[in-house]
Amino acid sequence: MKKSEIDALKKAFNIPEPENKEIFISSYKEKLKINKRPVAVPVIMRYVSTAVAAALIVGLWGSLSRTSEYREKFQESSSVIEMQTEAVTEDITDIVTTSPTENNAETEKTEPTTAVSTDAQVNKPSPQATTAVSGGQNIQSSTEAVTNTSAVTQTVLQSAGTQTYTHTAVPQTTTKVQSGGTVSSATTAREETRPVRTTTAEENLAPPVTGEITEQVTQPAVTTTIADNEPVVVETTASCYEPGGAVVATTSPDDPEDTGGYDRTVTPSVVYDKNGEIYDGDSFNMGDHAPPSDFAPPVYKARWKQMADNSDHIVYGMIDEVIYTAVYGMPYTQLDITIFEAYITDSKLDCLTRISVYMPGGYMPASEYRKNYYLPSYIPDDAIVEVSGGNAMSYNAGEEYIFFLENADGIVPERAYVLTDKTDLSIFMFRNGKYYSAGDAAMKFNESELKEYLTA
Amino acid sequence: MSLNIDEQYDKIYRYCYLRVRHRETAEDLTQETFLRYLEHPQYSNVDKTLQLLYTIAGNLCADRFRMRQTAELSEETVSEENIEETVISGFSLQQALDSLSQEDREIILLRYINEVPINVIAGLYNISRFAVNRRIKKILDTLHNILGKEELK
Repeated sequence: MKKSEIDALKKAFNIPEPENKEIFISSYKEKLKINKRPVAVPVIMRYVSTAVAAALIVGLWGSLSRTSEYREKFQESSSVIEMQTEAVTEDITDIVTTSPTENNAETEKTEPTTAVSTDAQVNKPSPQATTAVSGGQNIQSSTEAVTNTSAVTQTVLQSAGTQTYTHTAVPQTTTKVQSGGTVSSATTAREETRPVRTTTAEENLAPPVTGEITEQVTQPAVTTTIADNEPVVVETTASCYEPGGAVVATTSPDDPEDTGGYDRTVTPSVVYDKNGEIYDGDSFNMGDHAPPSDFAPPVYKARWKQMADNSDHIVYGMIDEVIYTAVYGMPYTQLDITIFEAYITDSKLDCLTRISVYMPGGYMPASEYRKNYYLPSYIPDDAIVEVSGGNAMSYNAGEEYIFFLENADGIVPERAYVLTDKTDLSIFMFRNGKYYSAGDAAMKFNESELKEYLTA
Repeated sequence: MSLNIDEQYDKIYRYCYLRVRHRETAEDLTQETFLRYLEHPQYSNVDKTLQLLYTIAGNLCADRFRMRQTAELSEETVSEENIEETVISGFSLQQALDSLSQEDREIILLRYINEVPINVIAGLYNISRFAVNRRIKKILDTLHNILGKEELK
């Protein structure tokens, strides 16, 4: 919500300013100081946990020190020992060697075979000695500045199919500067050589071609295997989902209409057809002619699980009829559907119940459309204007989908339902074992996933 | 979360005013809320400061409402000068707000005026965060609808 809208809300709530705020706050703060009592348990816990942490660190340090060679060397010494540990991390990028090979010289098609030499990233913590030993009476207590200088070079040698990796580190200098002057300086150099692990991928090329070259295309046999746990395609039958799974179908004996199979469709206030010359209404209502933001369908990128959480009903059904109508002058489409399964519902959507689903977009005569939207004057009044309403697809009778629905939102007729996302992001079609959102194919699930989520 | 009374006083006051519609009563209840908060056993180690504050305020308002049910109701809703001011500025929006249920009005106030986080509102009304979001969306849709689909002005 915009700041101006919030300001408008504040004004509309019309709440007068409090009069005694300052007096109360000052007295409250005084009371707060008196009332502020220390709480024993958190304080105790804080100190206890600090002590435990310190003990752990000391224990760990002692354990590590025993394994160190320096500890062995200076076991009995009372000297002050400084130790600097350097962790060397060497990132070696993949080395890709490309060597084209051919099985036959007459082959016109040459595809390079790729050999990939990969050296895994090496993380080698190596303790490096930079040790300053002072006499027993001379205890260091001043601040120090440490300067480290290092450079690393690396080479890869390759010959006759074997590779050797040589890593050379130039001398590394560590200089310690103490307030009394330079105390110590250490220089180290190291070199290491290790083999490189090589993996090779080979691919047989096409067989040799001799004589006249003829183009032969062989299509691989396509085998489609459907796993046992994939949902079975639901045929258009009235095989309603049995309650006991995800279905929450509540019935009210007080409501005489509340019986399975009841026709709960609504009669639209107006019906249009799409017979005539059709113009794309969306193209005329962009930029400066764009409708107010609250007319535009919301951009809703949530995944299907979040959509399921926001839905009052999730049903599987078949479109019986597609009716183009209008709501407050905006083109709408009414989909009358027969429900075959109700995965979740908080009301009366039983098997074979017929309902009306309203979705923005549809067809409308130009004469009606231009009452609320911009339309160029050259378009005749008897033309038909098509408006997508943010939907990706058009829908026809006989098609079956899963619908994510909410109850009427106050705009559409009272007993109608609306798509949870307003657009056909909330309509899922069955393809290749999964249900894909009509508005965004990236959003998909299979029936077992849906039921599992709804029962979780 | 530590309590910043300078910031929260106005918010709790607005919440109380929306419930009782009487400035002095709302201010009394606001101050009572903070005093009870101070004396609350969870005061020292509470992580849900906001929720506790609003819960106390809500309970106090409910108590006051019950007391007033037997007495004369609403001796002052909107003063004369306020009415005039209201007519001048955003009368239609106020009408739209008045057409909402009390709870819907509270949710809008909490979310947009008092900027209370969704999870706190969910805790106050004992509903899920998704349900709060959905409800807010529906309330805003209703407001838009009542206002003839115009922007909130």
